[in-house]
Amino acid sequence: MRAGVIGSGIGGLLAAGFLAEKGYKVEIFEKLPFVGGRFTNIEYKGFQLTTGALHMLPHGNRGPLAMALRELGIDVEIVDSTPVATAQYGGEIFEVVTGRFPIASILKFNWEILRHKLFNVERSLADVSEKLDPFSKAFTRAFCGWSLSVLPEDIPFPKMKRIYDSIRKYRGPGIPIGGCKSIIDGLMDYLESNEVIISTKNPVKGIEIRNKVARAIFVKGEKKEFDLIISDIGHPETAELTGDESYINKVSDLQSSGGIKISVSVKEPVLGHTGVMFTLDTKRIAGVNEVTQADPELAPSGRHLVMTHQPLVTKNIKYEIRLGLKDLKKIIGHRNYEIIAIQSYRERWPVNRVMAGHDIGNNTPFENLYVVGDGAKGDGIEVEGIAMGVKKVIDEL
Amino acid sequence: MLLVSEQCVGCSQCSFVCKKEAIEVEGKAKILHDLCNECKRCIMYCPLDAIKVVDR
Repeated sequence: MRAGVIGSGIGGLLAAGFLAEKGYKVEIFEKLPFVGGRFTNIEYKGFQLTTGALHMLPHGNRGPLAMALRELGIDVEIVDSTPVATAQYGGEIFEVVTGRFPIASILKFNWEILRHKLFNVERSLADVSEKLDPFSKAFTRAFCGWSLSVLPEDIPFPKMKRIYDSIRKYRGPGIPIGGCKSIIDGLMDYLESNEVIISTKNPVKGIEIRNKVARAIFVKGEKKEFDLIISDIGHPETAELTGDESYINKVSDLQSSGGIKISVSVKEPVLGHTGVMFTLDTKRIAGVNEVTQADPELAPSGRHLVMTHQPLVTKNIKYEIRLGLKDLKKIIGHRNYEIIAIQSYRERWPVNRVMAGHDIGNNTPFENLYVVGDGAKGDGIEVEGIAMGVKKVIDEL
Repeated sequence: MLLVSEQCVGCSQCSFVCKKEAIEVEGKAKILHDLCNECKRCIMYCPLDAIKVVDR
């Protein structure tokens, strides 16, 4: 059996790994000159920055991605975050533990879960958090911004509940030693030793559909036949490649979510731990991490790499960046800092190809064509959702 | 001359690969023409094909 994979992001590479393991003859097509998509490192001014992600796995060693890598025998060292999270609130910094949330708010939250279960009441997270105390409300906002890059207004409460459940199941985040690229490198080694063919600078121009079955991929004037096609480029772009009108229409209103990442160099640590610091006193920045606490090699010696994330609220990027920079000053306080890079993510190089809560899953109208990756990750968060989606597709074959 | 089109989302990969430090990114990439030697590395690395060569 031959499988063609479009796109070499972490979803495409992971899918290729499992397919090779199942005995498929796999070929991967990547349009860019590098593999790893938005989940790999860029070396810049001595820092290991990234093409997208924040050198963090939402569920660390126990999460779906780490489990999938272990299943393939890929060895990546992941440092689980301790503490999982702190919060900067009212000028103070403290660890986020259940006891920090007023009992009344916890009861209200549980009551809302019960209401949803019993009466199927559908409300946005904002409607629910509106009724909570100021800390819980601000925390909800920061949490959504950091992990989903959305505002509470834009996410249905049940979706939030499922994320809450998966955090309780898989626990908090972890930082891969070597950053995102160590995972990509691990996957690439696995693929190479399993004779998977990978070509870069090789954009796919079309997918041939005959009798409702995807049969071939067009690249550089060449047609390549496959028994199975996996796309890692999201539904809208996949639909475009098939040219199928009804598929194109079906996925045309899927919206991506954007965000801004600021990579900052500091001498004195800002967090001093390997977890996330949710920022509640800010206008835009939702949280920061300090990955050099787990792996000092991600920055030049004597420096820490701090990365902020903020969801895109308006379409005015310059304005959003200005608010982010103001927030940054507040977060960093008296310390000296140097901005290494400001990267914005939206449209076709977004934070999430599909806004959290609106995902339509891995299937397409064609039974041997699947979409994996960030554009089809169900209810999972970031790369964890990607790993869950890939596993789901592989199990279905 | 290289020009950045409307498609640019500011992902900044062009500025990271530019050897002449001829690209500034603030929301969108901006090419500093007096520093640019038109090596076209940025074109190769742009995920969105947003940088084009135009005649002067």
